[in-house]
Amino acid sequence: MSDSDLPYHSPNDTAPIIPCRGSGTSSSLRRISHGPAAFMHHLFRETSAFVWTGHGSAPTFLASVSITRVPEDRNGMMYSIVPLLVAAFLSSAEAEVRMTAVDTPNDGGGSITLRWIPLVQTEYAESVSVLGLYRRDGLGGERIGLAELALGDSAFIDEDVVNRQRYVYEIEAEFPSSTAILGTAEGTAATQWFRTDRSAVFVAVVVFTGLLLWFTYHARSGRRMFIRRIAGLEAVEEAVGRATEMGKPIMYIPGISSMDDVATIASIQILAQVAKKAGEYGTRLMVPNRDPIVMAVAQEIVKESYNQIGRPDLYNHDDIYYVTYSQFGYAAAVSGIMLRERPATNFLLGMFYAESLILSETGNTTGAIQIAGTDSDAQLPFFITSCDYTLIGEELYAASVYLSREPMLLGSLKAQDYAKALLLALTAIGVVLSIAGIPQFARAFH
Amino acid sequence: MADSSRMTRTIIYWGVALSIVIPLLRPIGFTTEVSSQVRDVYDFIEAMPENSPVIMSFDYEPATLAELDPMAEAMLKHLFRKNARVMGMTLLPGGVGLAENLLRQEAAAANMEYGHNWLFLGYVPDGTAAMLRMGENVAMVFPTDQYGTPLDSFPMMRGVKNYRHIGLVICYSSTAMPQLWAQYAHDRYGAAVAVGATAVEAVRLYPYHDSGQMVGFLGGLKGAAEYETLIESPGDGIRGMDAQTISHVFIVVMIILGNVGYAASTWRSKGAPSGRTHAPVA
Amino acid sequence: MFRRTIPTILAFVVGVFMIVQFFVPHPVLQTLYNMVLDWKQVVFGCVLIVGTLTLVRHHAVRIRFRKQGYGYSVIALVSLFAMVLAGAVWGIEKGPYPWLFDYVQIPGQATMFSLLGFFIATAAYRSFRARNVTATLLLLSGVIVMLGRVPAGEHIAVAGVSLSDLATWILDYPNNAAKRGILIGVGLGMTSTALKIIIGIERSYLGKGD
Repeated sequence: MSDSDLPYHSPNDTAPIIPCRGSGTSSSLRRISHGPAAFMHHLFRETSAFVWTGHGSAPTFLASVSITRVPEDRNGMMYSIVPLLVAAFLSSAEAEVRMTAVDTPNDGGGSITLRWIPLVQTEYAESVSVLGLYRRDGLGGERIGLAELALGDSAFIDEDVVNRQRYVYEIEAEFPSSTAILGTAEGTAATQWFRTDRSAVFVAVVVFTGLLLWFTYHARSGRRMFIRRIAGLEAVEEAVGRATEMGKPIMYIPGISSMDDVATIASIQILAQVAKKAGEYGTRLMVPNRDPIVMAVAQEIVKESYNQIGRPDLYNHDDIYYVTYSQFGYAAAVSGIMLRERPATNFLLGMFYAESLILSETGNTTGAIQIAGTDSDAQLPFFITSCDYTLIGEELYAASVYLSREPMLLGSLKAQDYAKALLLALTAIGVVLSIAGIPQFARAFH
Repeated sequence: MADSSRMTRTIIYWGVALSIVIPLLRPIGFTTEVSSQVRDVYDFIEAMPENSPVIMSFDYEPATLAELDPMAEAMLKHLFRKNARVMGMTLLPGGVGLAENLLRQEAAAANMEYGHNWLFLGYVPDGTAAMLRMGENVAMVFPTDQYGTPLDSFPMMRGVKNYRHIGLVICYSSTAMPQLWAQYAHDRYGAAVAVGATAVEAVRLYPYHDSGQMVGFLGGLKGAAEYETLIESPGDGIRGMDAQTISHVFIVVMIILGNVGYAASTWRSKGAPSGRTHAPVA
Repeated sequence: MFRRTIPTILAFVVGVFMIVQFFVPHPVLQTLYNMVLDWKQVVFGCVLIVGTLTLVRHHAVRIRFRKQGYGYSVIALVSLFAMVLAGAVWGIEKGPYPWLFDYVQIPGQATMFSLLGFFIATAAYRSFRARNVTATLLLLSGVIVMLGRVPAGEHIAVAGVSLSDLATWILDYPNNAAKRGILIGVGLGMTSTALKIIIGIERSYLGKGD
């Protein structure tokens, strides 16, 4: 048999683990029709191995024997008898290589997952020269080659199937002088409407949304809510005032992330409050940006804030500008601006990475009062070291609420507190139950 | 006060510079032990079948090249030894030149053929969108390679559609890209993710490794040195360990001296220690 | 209406859609989701052009009015156009573009990053002071991690435990515990902010703070 007979590429190729798909050829189909018999031929001649094809394939196997063309040589009689004997044996034997074909879970359909015991774990591994995976549309459809398999492979995901159509899969082994089907399985693909692997997240979203709506409703009804003092936010007024007294600008750095990042959204919300305060004092506000989308939003926010306090004349389009998308290029540019313009106050609020210390330390050397805040836990130590006030983690998200004192928004903080308490309780229960040897509770959250 | 601060700062800067430059010029030869985070990455690659497709995202720019290049180099060596099919890409425009140079260099050294053993997909903007769409179909994000050849025309791309067919996704970064790869490629699509991060950023990766969202990670130059030790191929990581050790020791000595000075001044004034002032101290 | 109501409705619809598509894998939703991601990339590409124009305008204004330090603006604009020109005329594979990348951009950016080493040294010197019990704990753990993360730490032992192992323990347990605590709070804060925007009770991002 030549390589061109194969619907998949030869093993001498740089073989991918999950290789190309191709159409079956008539020669390959012909070859397959006498596969089990050829396999027995190999079994007899090489006395090396036999491979169980799975319970389901035993009748197929017996049927195939009946159409086996018996070679016209001196062993011909033997070839025709041995398959029958072995088949009879296999039909009662314990399965060694099983194959399953199931609808791939939690997907949009069009996919069947196949699993089998890797052949490398069996004693027959050494005899197999090529292992192929084939698919047939229903029982009588055309047979096409899906992939050349490695002996160690144990799974394959067929993503080229139509929903609700039945497919039959076959793993075929090629021996030095024969071929045989080692396993067959049937499967159907379907679309799922809910990802069950995300059930825990779904419950969390529902519970948290419920809490948020509940407390927002209560806050709306005028119920007074306590919010603890956050020093960094109390200092915003002082920081803006200081810049005004010194006649120097304020620099606001909204982090280096994009609007995808909720920390950036939180920073933009704080920028609205800072812009208002700066506008009330008539102090210049500079906002250098690393992300062009953030820049566009920041321009709109500052303009709107100035409008709200009746000072649209203060808005300068060129003070809120794009610098560069390069992380350290941005750090270099902003450090340079800090050293040249010497802003009296620096706000570093949003998402920061390795450049955080360069920015805050440069601001520190210029003597600026610095208020930082980030949910990037790795950068918090740097900000705490070199800034006057640091908003830690969730304080950044609370800042906008804290500064605006909007009652409806205060309700969301309460919801966060209750959700946190709930999480702590669940964690404690999980720890206790896991220690007590009941890990199912913890596993439910995986 | 300001003058003494400037003086202290100058001394520290000179000390750091010398403690880095001198060991680089006159190596001492410190060796390093291998951490579990690095060993996990190595073991995972070792356990991967031959010819496994691997995505290598060079999400860094020239700034962090000194820290991240050695680890990318060591891992490429290892992957090519395992005959892995490496797909290089970057989510930062500044990463194109770096990724291309490194891939070419290591592929040439290992006699790997373009299109069969490695590919360079190039740069795509908006990292998170790209990560998510690659979970559906890599070719949707990169219809062609960096040089305009359709992806499906490369032999190594046969049977590779999305993360399900990818053995490992490796990200090198000094930003939050590793967490995003873990959250989108692993959590959403089940891809195995390994990371190479700068030492500053590596600290935040421990929870992701512990929770299994990352196979493991290499942190800073030490991570590179550990990986070079594992693949028995010394490079810039191991060479940099001398400089890193001496500079760390220098900083510790300065911290001790700072505390001695602080204790002496507190003892002299017999007052309560003051908090942070707005003026620079060091 | 166009500044407040329609954007709020849009935020609600898109926000709910993004939540639903996370839980429902149906191909129709996934197709729509991919479309959203496509739009996002297109918007990013367009806004990058707007950003670059803003950068040019910002520096052009500085140069025109001879503002303090306008020389830096000249350098910024010359560098910007030089790179664009080099790439457009000779391509990015050969000619001056790779040369500028290799010999200007790489050393320049690497220098910026290396400043971190110097700043960390001064920041550590300034903050690691044994002012009280907690500050002393911080000082000790800082020193252990610093020494434990380099080969020297593997040869220094305290009570039979190497500094390297101590550093690993600090990073794996107290550090991890604190980080998880912060992360849980951050996660809730993020979810809360996102939900507030979707529900429409937080609209300051639309330029309406109150």
